[in-house]
Amino acid sequence: MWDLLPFDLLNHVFSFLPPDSLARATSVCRQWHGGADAFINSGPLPSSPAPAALHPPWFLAMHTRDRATRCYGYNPVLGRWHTLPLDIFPHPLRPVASVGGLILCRPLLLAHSLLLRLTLFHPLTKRYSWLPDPIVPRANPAVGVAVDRDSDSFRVYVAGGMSVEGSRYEATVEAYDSGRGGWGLVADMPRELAVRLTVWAQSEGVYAGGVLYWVTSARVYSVMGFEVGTGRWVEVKAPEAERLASAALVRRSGRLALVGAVTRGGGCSSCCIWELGERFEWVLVEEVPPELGRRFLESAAAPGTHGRWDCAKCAGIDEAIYLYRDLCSPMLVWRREKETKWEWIWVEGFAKSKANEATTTSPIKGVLLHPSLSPPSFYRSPNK
Amino acid sequence: MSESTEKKMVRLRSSDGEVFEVEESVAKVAKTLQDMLEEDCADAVIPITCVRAPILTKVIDYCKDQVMISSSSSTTNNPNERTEQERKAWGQKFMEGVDSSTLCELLVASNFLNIEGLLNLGVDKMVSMIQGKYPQEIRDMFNVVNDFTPEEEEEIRNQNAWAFERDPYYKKRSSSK
Repeated sequence: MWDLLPFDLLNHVFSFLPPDSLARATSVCRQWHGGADAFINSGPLPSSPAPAALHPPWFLAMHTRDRATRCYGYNPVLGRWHTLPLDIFPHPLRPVASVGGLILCRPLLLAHSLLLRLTLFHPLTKRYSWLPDPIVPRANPAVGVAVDRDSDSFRVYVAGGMSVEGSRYEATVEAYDSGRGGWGLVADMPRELAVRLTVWAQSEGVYAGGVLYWVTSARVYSVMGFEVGTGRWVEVKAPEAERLASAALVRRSGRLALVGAVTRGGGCSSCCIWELGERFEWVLVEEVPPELGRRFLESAAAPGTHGRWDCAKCAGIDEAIYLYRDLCSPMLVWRREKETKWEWIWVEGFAKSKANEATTTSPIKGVLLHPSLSPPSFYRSPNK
Repeated sequence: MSESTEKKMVRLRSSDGEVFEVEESVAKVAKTLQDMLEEDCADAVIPITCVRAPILTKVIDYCKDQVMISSSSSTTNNPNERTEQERKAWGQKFMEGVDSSTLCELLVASNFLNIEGLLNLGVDKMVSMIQGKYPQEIRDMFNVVNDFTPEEEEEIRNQNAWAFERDPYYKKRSSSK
């Protein structure tokens, strides 16, 4: 019966499957294997919709302190966690940002040096490729990625950082262009900014509306933005800066959003989400519903994180924002359900969903990505 | 032509010999038939060689509905017009109770007749049936025979072992220890 189905039609069906189901479809029978395999290895057909339009992003958690042999992916459609092997790197990996189905990571090369190296990692196939080293070697610079959604290309920006011998701050910005495959110096920057980004940039940059933003935490939280088109810097004071106990940046529906824990009077705190408006003003768009927030805070697994918003971390990409802590603790997810409607979802942590799995509360960093079984293009092109 | 009110009819013959008479507008929902009709090879009965009568009935139901919702869509207050949500609900209802062999025939038919909307409904249905299922569940559902050798099957599963965790239906069939 099913052998009547034309090959390209089966292929078309496979183009709509999320990677877990696609992987299983390959093992149904020879005919399906042929169809799925062709789809996986040729990449999506020109007619098939982009994965981002089809499926909500997955949450991927990586251990950041200890070298791990696994990372963990959460599929929000089926509400399922997957354990993904990660036994190819001899060092812990810290995700910077996702680029389609790939993750740009900065490995912590403890044995070698603190100089920045970057690798593109494809978590479903364990394939990876080192980026060439930046022109100016630097330790601990601020890093961010600008993805051009219309093409497959992206640019990685590094700003600031310490010089090799550790005596000097590098007051330059350089960018890696994936189309060209190389680095180029983009702009000089004020030394004072280089210091701030090197010492006080809390996490990786978030790209929205042509600007790469980093949050810095010298005394109070502040947001630094690098306009990639002009090379100009902007500084935006964080909302309620004096009362913020933590701040993280995400991109929500193409705009910059700041997720922060706000200390209120009487030892209370809450978690708020602001969006950056056209005139660089913050607009409060959401506050975690109190009941849900209380439940979330009380569910913390690791000692010392109980009841504290500032111990929650945050990952986001356009259609979803995840608040998480470690693999054992539940997550709160704010995600787009319909066009403009956003809803809060409660998600059990990885470890809780598996009774016999050794639980762990070691530090993780999460990143949202649109996973794909298709090997990354750096593996498909003949010259690697 | 003077008889503009009289609707032109088209006859279709299924693979098992049944003849269906439908309005031309209904037949034209199928791009393949539209092309044939426009090339004016329409007078005789059009043979639909790869579609059986029960499937053709379902296909015609779909086409009739498409004509119904599009016929008055130019007027502002079309009672038949559907919102995105209603369209979705309608599609789900239309495919409700469609078993896997009917689904397969519908896919083949809509592919052959080039009816994009129906093809999409079929693809959605198939995707929803496959999602989250283990291979053996899929085989049972679609009546597909596992024609791999145990070694081949194991190798394919190992390529993406993470996706097969806790598969309750799989026992290593390999005879070698």
